[in-house]
Amino acid sequence: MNFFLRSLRELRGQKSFVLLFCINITFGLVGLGLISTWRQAFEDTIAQRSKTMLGADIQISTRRTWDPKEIAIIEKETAALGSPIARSATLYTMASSASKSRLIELRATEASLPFYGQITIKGDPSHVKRLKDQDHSIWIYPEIATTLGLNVGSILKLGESNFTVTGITEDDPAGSWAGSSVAPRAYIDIKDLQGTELVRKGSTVWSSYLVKTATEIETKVIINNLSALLNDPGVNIVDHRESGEQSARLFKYLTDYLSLVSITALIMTGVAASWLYRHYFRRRRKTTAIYICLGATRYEAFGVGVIQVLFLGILSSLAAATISLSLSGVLVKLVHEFVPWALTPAFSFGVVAKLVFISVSTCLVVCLPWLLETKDISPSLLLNESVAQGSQKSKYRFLSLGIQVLFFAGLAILEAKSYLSGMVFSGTLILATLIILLSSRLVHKVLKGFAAGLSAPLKHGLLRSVRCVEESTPAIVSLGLATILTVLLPTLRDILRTELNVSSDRGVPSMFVFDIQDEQKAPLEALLTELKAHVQMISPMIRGRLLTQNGSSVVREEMNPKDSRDAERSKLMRNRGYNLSYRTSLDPSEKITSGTFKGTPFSPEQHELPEISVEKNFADRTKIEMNDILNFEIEGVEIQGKVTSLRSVKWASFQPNFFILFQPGVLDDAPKTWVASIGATSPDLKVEIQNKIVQNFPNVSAIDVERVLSRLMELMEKSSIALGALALLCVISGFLVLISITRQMLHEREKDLLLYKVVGADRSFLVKLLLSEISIIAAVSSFTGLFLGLAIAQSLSVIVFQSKTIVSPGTVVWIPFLFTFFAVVLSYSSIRRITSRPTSFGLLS
Amino acid sequence: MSILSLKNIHKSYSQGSSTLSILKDLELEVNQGEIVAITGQSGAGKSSLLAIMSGIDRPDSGQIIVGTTHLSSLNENELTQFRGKNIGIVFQQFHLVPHLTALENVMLPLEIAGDKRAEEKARQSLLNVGLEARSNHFPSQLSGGECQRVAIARAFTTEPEFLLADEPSGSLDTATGSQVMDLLFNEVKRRGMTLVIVTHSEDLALKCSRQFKLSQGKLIESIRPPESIKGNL
Repeated sequence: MNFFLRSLRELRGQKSFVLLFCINITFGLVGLGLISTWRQAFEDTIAQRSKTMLGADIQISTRRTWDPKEIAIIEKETAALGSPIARSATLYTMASSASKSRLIELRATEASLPFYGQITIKGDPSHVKRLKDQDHSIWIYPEIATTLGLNVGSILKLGESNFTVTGITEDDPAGSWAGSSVAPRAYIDIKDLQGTELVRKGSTVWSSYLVKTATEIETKVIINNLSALLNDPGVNIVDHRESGEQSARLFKYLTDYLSLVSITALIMTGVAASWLYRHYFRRRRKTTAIYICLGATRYEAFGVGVIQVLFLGILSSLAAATISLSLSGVLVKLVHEFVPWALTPAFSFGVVAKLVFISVSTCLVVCLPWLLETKDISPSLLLNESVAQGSQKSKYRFLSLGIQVLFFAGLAILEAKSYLSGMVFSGTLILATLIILLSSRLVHKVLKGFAAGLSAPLKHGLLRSVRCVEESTPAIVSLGLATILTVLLPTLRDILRTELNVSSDRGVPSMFVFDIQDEQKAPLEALLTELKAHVQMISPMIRGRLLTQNGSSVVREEMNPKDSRDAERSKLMRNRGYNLSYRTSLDPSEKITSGTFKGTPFSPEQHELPEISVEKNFADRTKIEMNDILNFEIEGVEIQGKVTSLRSVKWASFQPNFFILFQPGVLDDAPKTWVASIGATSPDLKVEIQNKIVQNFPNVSAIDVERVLSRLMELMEKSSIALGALALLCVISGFLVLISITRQMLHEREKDLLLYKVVGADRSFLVKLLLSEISIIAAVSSFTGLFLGLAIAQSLSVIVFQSKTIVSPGTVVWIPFLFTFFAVVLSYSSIRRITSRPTSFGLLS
Repeated sequence: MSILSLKNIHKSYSQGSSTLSILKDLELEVNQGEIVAITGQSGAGKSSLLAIMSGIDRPDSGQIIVGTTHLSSLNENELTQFRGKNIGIVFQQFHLVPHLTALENVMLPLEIAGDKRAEEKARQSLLNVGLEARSNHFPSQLSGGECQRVAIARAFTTEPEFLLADEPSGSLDTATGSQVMDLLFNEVKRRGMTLVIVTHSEDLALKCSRQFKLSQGKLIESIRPPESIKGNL
């Protein structure tokens, strides 16, 4: 106890250090605290609401037509346990009123659904009205009613059938996904679906069986049995919990990236905390030596340091948990668009424990070099003043740096739940830090050449910042990283705006038309020609199922809650039906990265397997390689092909494209539908095309790409606000680092400043000197950050979007100026305080 | 002619609830070209007196006149500028700015004063103390004796009217300390300057033209026959 108290007693006399250290770590943790609180709220909501969201315990779904054998298996397995089942089908289709039409998400369900929860209809307090009560009755989301001018009792045409609106939904426990404003939902009874003739060969329909079980054990048994018996990657079998998590995948990905931004803040403030601890350590070397001289062992001295760091870590984490919880309620609005239900953050012991762990570990890791050095302190330093001062550099710095890099990279991997994202993030951060440091030294070196021509205060400010770069390193790195983030966000948003701009001349289509049957292709093209619509591309689409890869059966990979995001994405890619296509030439939005793409029609005389071209990222995720032999089943017919090329596709071109392209002449006779893209059209023509399609081809659907893109942009804006909020935290952390370091630096330099006064420097000279020093640090770091931010944005633009857009610094060029100005303003009060102190005689013996 | 005049100087410090009087009604007259030693026991107030003489600190009451300037009439900034131009100080711990080279340290007071020939004068000062070859070295690359020589060059570089030295050999070994003191005395003599030196060393004090002992807040001059003055001043 005495040992513990002695450790804390030492901190009592270091209030300024304790305060600055804790403020830094607390700020660094707030972002992670917020994300952890959101994630916890998400988990809690899933636990409470997942059954009502799915309306059942289990969902078994596929995008292809069910095989009668599969239906028999499902019915047998569920009946064995006495679990009721019900069918449901979901598809996107056009719905039209007397004069207008729009795309909707249609859900056709059996009357027994939902097994849990209830859809609330406006003005229907009894909640007992069922769709089955009236033939051809439909419930619609309010957006459909508004855009098509419908009320209860109005007629809505779906395919070949007319439906009567019997309800406008008020609350749907199944929630609405992020794209609901593009295609709002409507419900009909499944018995009325057939009459619409919307479901034809190759139509895009998600067919599901929903199961109600009595216990969680039954749920597991049914899932296990069905997974074994329906061993097809194209069949998705999930329980209510997994279904809920899948419905909020966007939220999960967003919080992954937000947590990476938060880790940046933690690293920045961690660097400052390390710097502060170094100065504290140098001050307490003498005290430690006295303890050792009086009989304490070196390990006891080391223990004192560890206890102090643990105490500071716990203190910071508790402060961060309190702030996170207070802010999460307000900031949850930033992410609510990404979750189909409301999140209610609440106190969680798990979140606090996580913050304590991260905080304590961070504190130990950033203070490690100096903690290790504690055990090397010898009482002999009490006899030698120069030894007592200690070195600026720890001999354990390289070992500690390695541990620090591993720690933060590990944290990034855990928080992003992805090895790839975590490693890319850590690599980028390390590279950015190195470039910031090297650039700042280079710039300093260049600036030094101009020192001779500067006024004395400026010259001395410059010389100090050039020669004491070690001292200002944390501030340079923190401000540089904060600038990168601040520059990156608006620049990436600008790139996205350019990439997603339909009205530009980049050839982005204005409409997609899909589910075009073979026999409808020619008349539809004729109609579009008559309407003077420019058909950019029309591609065949064939649903297939991958049976074998190089002779090995392709089996369904079960999702596991502990899967990393990389594994999750990979499994999602593999566990899906395949849309196959063929074409004779490549689209401008794609290019071959390996192998060759001939595009010449297949002939049996070529004595080789048909050629297959696979999209590169898809191939990477699904582990398909060049020369692999893939065996597909299409409507009961097996077709084999050999991978002869890999392609990169610029998906941001919004041209219809496919992961797998067969050589022409192989799939031409397979049952298929067609997908068409229509070039830029006027809003009036777009409405006319849509209405004519609905009239003449009721089963064909049209997507307004502009509407999708604007919704996408809206979501991007929303996520950029959330990212911006976290980036702001980084900026605040960056300035906090600068203020902490400036304060400490000025305190340490009081003697130097006094010396300047002794040789004649007045207050204005010192203020100018210090301000120029701070300005140089801030300007060098923020301008380096600007250039790096633009370079990263340009790289992302080329690598991710394959864009040729050259990023413009126009919208962000002011950031370094603003940051430099803020740095000067924020440091001014400390500078003013220290320079207005009267000259004392601390320099005298 | 009097170059430094202290009249009725009082200085006290608070120590908890009590007040400790360090200087009491202290008087001192130093003439142009004199080398004056002030000795005294630890805690006698030597450093306080030096701080007051240099304008680093102010007395509670009394007058300090340097040349014809009353230091008490100057505000903080005026005092700083006056000190920069007219008073050179050499410290026991050298107090060189660590991130400046020897040359830059010597140039510092000249640059602050806006002297266009700062570098030229500083180089000459370094030459005078025999350190022209070490002008681009940082304090951490110099020995203690060299650091003190740089500090002496810096004190001389503005050609002040008088010089204050606070235990200038206190941080050096005997041989180096002696060399540094010889250098200091020779330079002062060559330039015809006035030097006030605070020291513990009786030997060093004996080398000065006048010696004072600070005791109980007052200066008591030791009167000695001229032949007892050591050295060749």
